[in-house]
Amino acid sequence: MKLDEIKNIIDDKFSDKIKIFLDVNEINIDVEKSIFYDFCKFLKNNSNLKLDFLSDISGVDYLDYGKSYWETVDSTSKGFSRAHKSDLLYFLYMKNRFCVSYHFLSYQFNFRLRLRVFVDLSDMRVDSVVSLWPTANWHERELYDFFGVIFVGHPNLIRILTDYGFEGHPLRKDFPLTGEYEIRYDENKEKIVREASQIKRVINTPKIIRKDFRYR
Amino acid sequence: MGIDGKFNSGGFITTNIDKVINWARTGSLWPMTFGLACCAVEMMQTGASRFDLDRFGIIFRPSPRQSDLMIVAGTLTNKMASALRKVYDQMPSPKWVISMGSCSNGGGYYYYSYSVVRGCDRIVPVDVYVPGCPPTPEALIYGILKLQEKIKKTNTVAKKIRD
Repeated sequence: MKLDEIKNIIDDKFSDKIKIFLDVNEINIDVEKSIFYDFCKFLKNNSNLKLDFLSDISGVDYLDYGKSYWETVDSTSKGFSRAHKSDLLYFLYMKNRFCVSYHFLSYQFNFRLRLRVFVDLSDMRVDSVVSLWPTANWHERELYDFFGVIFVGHPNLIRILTDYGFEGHPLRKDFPLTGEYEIRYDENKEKIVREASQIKRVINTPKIIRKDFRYR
Repeated sequence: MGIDGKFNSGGFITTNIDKVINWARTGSLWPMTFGLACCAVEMMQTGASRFDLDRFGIIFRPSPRQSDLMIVAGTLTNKMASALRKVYDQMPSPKWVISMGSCSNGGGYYYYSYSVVRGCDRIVPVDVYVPGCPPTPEALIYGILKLQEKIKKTNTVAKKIRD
């Protein structure tokens, strides 16, 4: 089955709510949050798609994407990102700060598909797909941990990797790299205590900034 | 003429009791297996047949109750720190700690990270620091030999008598 046929199958049913890009012989779809769960159900159960393997869920923070080039001065407190202004999808990203990206594989028809759903700080909720692909359980917990995306319907949405009692979401661009606290063992209290970080925050970007000519 | 020759003169030798204690302690260091990251692979290799820690009397123990040495091998994260301290507290005295690799020596590569302890000496007292990223088995063995030298300098009985 060719990619164009697959694209038509998907387009026929959800044409007004999704955007499909065919790139490097793979299918990329941006889907609206309102129909996200129904769309996933369709991808899994449709007899011509059968995307029964969810290989990965990842998150992207598009803070300042396309706005600035390499601005390093305040990067530890505000975050930075690199993108050129002439990027075509610039306005789409600016509307929503985060995206959750899903990577599917169809064993039966041997093709892959990427899916993006955009969320913003005002409403970080996305429907959970644990009921469709059980492997999403830990992936969604990880995304909640690192980006603060809230998955509605997840059976046990707690942090998975960071410390107990950790505050903040470390992979957000505006999270300070060195963190807010550090720990040490207190001999008198006989326990591990948490203190405000004494370390001087660094700007972790290269000193030499080269122009990016890819988009010209 | 080895130790046999000394036994020939009456069947006994005279020595310092501290030397006997330190001989026993240095000859049977039993480390707590505490591998945290890639340094643990080098630690395993040190224990395996090529470098063979058994010839120093070092046998890895799975329980802190049976061990007197802890080799902190790898990156110590904030989440793991309380577990490390608990395991250290469970070890019977006398006990020693070898910090293995840059990460546990002082944070190393992850010095500016939000989730890593900047040196395991913030959590437990360390006797020997082994540098490297990761240290080679030779370096770890050298660290263990240095620890043995340190143990040989301690006085357990003589100190109590003096006090």
